Amino acid sequence: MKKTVETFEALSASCATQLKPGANESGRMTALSSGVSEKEDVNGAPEPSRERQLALILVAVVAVASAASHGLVAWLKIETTSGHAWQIGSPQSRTVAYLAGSSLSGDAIAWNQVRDALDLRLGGWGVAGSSPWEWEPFQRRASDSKLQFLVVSPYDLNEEFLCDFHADVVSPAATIQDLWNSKSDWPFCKRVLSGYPLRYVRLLFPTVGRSQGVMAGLRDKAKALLGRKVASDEGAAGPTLSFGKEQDVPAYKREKISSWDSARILRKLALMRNACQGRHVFNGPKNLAFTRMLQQGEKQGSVVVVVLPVSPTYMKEFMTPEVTKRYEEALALAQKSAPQTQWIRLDSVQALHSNDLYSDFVHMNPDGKKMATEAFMSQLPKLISSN
Amino acid sequence: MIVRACLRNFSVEKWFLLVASYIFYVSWSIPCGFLILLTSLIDYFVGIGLERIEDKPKRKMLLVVSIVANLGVLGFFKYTNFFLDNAWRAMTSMGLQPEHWHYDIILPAGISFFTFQSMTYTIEAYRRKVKVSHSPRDFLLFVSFFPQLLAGPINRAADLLPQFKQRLRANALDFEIGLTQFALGAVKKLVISDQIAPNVDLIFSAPGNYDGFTLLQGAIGYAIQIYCDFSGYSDMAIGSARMMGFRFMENFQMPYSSVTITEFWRRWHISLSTWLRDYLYVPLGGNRKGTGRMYINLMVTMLLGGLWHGASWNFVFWGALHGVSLAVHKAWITWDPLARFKSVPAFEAVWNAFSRVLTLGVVLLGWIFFRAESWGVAIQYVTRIATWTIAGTHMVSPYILAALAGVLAAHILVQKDRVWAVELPARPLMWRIAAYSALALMLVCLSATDSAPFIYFQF
Repeated sequence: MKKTVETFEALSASCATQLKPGANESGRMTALSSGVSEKEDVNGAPEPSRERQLALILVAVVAVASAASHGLVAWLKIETTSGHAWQIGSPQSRTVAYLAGSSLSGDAIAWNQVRDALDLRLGGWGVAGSSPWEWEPFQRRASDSKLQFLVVSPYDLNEEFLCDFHADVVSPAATIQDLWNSKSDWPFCKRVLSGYPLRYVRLLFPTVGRSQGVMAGLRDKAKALLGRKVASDEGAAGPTLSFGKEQDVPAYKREKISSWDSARILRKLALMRNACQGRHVFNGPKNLAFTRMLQQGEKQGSVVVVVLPVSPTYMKEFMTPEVTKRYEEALALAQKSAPQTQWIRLDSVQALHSNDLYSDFVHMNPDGKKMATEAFMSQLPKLISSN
Repeated sequence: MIVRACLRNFSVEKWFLLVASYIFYVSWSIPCGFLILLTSLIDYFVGIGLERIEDKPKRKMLLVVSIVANLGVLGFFKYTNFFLDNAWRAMTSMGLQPEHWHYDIILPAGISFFTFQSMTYTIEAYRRKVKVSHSPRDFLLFVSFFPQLLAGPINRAADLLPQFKQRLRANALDFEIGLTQFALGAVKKLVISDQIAPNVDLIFSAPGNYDGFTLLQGAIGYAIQIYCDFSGYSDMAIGSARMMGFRFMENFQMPYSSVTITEFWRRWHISLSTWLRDYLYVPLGGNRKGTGRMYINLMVTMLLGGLWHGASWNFVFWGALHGVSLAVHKAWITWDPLARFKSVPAFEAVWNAFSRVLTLGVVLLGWIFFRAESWGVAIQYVTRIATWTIAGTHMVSPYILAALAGVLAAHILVQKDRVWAVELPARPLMWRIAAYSALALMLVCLSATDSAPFIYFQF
């Protein structure tokens, strides 16, 4: 033990000669290099109360942080659960149909009209920020659906946009298999697989990895407290789901990105670029899942794929000719794998290529929804006759 | 650390740490694992030779072997394309038409750090200031120890090697100090640096699109980002080593609180600045060979220090800017024209404020060149700020402003030589619970969703 103290002193002296930032150096280095506190004996034996204190601190900190994290999530109404089942239509409806899509599909098409036109009982599971990779497990539950709608877009199919709830919905084994089969690179695999331990961390701390929602929510609360109007696109503290819900459209969903100032557009684009690491890739696990869904859907009955457009700003920023080519190749491959599938390309409807029709870069506002629904419904007679 | 705590045999523990360090490194790239092994073994055997051989020319030759091996490897991976590109440009400008050679060379992670760290051993062994290691395992562990492998701090052989010879088991206080420092580092990196990174990247990607105010905001944002990113990593490295009972040297000490540029370099990337001082500036003669030679030595040291960061003229300029600033400061304090006014407290306060702003201004200018993607972009950036262009998008980033407020508060309100990681564990229990809870809350609520890679990993 004496030798240990001598070693500490030697270390302290050695470090002190190399580190000269200020007048407090030697005292600081002694404190830094020595493991001996004032309350410990000269033989360096640890004081028991310090260990008990450390244990108490760890328990207390975890408890406080967990309580605060759960409290924040409840107060700010941040979405933390996945897989909300929804259904529209009566049990007496002629056809049972399954709809797989992200929030983009709920904002682009008025499914109530589709339900009425086709006399459907339409249902699905809403998972915020999801893609075919997360829809597939729910498709297996919809075994009684003779008609399936899969609604996709460049945003949904971009492999680099990861769903916050992926680990809640897809098993680790299935994820690893898809990552292996799609030859995904190691950094991407790490990003995806880190969602699994994160799922358990979120049991204690549901705000982990949801800082954007927390900050947006706190900002809104602060503004409300000060009596200021909450900015329309900042009303959402996180992903939202509106399938099957008859409700007033919140203010931020009535925005037009054509009215955004350039600073706001640039900031939002930066966030989006950061979320996808600046990459647009379409030949990964999402594509594999999409293909499997088409094939499964054909086995069960009919499949309709609706390809949605995204805003011109998004197209200009992210969908370069090379990226667009990769996207079209991915769609073509999927089409080839399921030749009976019917495709409705709303992204080729020129009238939908206007920033007036989008509340953000990918979600349509009510004006866009009206036009997109009309375009979709105009192609429904072909669908009905083929059915 | 749990496994380490269970191991009773120090020898087994060191093998475990060595294997863990190599697994950590080869998870980035398997060939690079062989590279670090090769350079480490070269230096290990050079050390043995330096101990056994008394003949001065032969000892010098051995040292040259180590330096050539380390700098050769560093030079090949880092500077090959830089030299080829510049040679091609030079020949093209002379009217020649040579073939433009360019190779796909992947830079091994941490190469700038582990080569410099390994060289401290052979240089100190040559000077007979460090006890030569006769354990290949201990030496390999010294070079590859995972907390400091990828981005430092660049520890000295005299400090770290003895810690592998004699076990230092961390007590509860060490663990708490280490954990505190780790947590502080994580807050700096995940809560501050990663949150402002997208906005900084946005502004630097196209400075021509923004007005002067926005560009200034971007420069300040980058200054905060690089400080929090790098010092955050250092804190996490030092903290995790401390939890395991190892002492690393400190790498940052509130550099933006510096009053002069000389003080800045005593507080910023301390392990590199002291390495450059001890192994480049002093051997070149330091200030022992006259004033003129001192300025030359200073410039050479800072130019090479800039080049160490990357193969780009931007980094060379950054080093030159700091070299000139240090030289000017040295000349100023030698001349000291305002000496007679310094006894006036009001003057001293005003002068200190001015000096602080000037120092930050020089540092900020350097960061613009450090971050800009090219020389042209850096010039455009600086010009648009200097002329306070109002044309372009005016953007206010709440993230950058909030980070600025936090960093300013920390640097102005807190005495600059305090070490929170050591002070906090000395506080009463309830105080500590409150402080650690605040840190934990920041981490769980405000950590960036998409973490950016550590900036200094690219060096």
